[in-house]
Amino acid sequence: MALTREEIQTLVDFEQQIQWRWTSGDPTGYMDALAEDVTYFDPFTEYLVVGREAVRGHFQRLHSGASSARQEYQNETARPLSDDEVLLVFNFTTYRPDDNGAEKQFLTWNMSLIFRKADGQWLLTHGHLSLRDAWDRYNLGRSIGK
Amino acid sequence: MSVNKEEISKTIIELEKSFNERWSVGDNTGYLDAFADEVSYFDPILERLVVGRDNVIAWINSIYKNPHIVRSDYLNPQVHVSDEGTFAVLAYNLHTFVLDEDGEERQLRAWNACHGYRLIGDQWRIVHSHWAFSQTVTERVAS
Repeated sequence: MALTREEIQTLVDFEQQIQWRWTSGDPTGYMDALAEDVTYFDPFTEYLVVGREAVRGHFQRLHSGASSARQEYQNETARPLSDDEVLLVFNFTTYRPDDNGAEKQFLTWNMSLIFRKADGQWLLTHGHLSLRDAWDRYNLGRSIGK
Repeated sequence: MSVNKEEISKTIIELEKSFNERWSVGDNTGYLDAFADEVSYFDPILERLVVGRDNVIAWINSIYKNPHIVRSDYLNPQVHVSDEGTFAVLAYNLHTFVLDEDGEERQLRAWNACHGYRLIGDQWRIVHSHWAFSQTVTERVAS
């Protein structure tokens, strides 16, 4: 049976909760939401990471415990892919206080996340995170030869 | 009707390779023709998400030129197929190589790529595409 709009909204709310926990220093929300067959990329990975334990290990190595003061979602889309899976796509920006206590932008991301609902729980089956300013970092010409 | 996930996985990987091989030598129409109306798209140049077939095609045409890639390595391909057999997500690493001035092969890029494919009619169409460089950051950060 197809997912209802209300069920999809529960995923949007759930993802924002575990994302905020991550942003504020607690990675366990995301760690507990990993499906056994999850596949995962982020800017730190050299290769695709496959499987819950491998992704958990990656998170443990990655997470610094540092926290951000605010997170902002832009261009959110949530689309059902099948009877139990939803694709979330959005841009995501975090902010931290600078030395003067003023808020400054920290990191800004492209996020592609697929969650599956199993036994009433949302589990991440695929995550692809990338930085929005990666091209400038590479100082490359404006073409997308792969 | 039973779903043959292994067969679907093979189909998706071969489809992706065929699009990418054409892209590598100057023909981007494999990817462009495969975009579904509702496709969403990320790449490292974009400021923000692009949504919709016409918008994504216009964006890619504005930045595309023949990359003259002579070899591509498709690494770690993983395909997740939905139980209904109508959706598949492909994730893989792509390493591309070009010839340098001496005619020697050199690596051009290393990518993280994921694509959501949906079976529409009898054709697999791309409904989401996300391209990013591999390992762009090495320091630890929270988010």
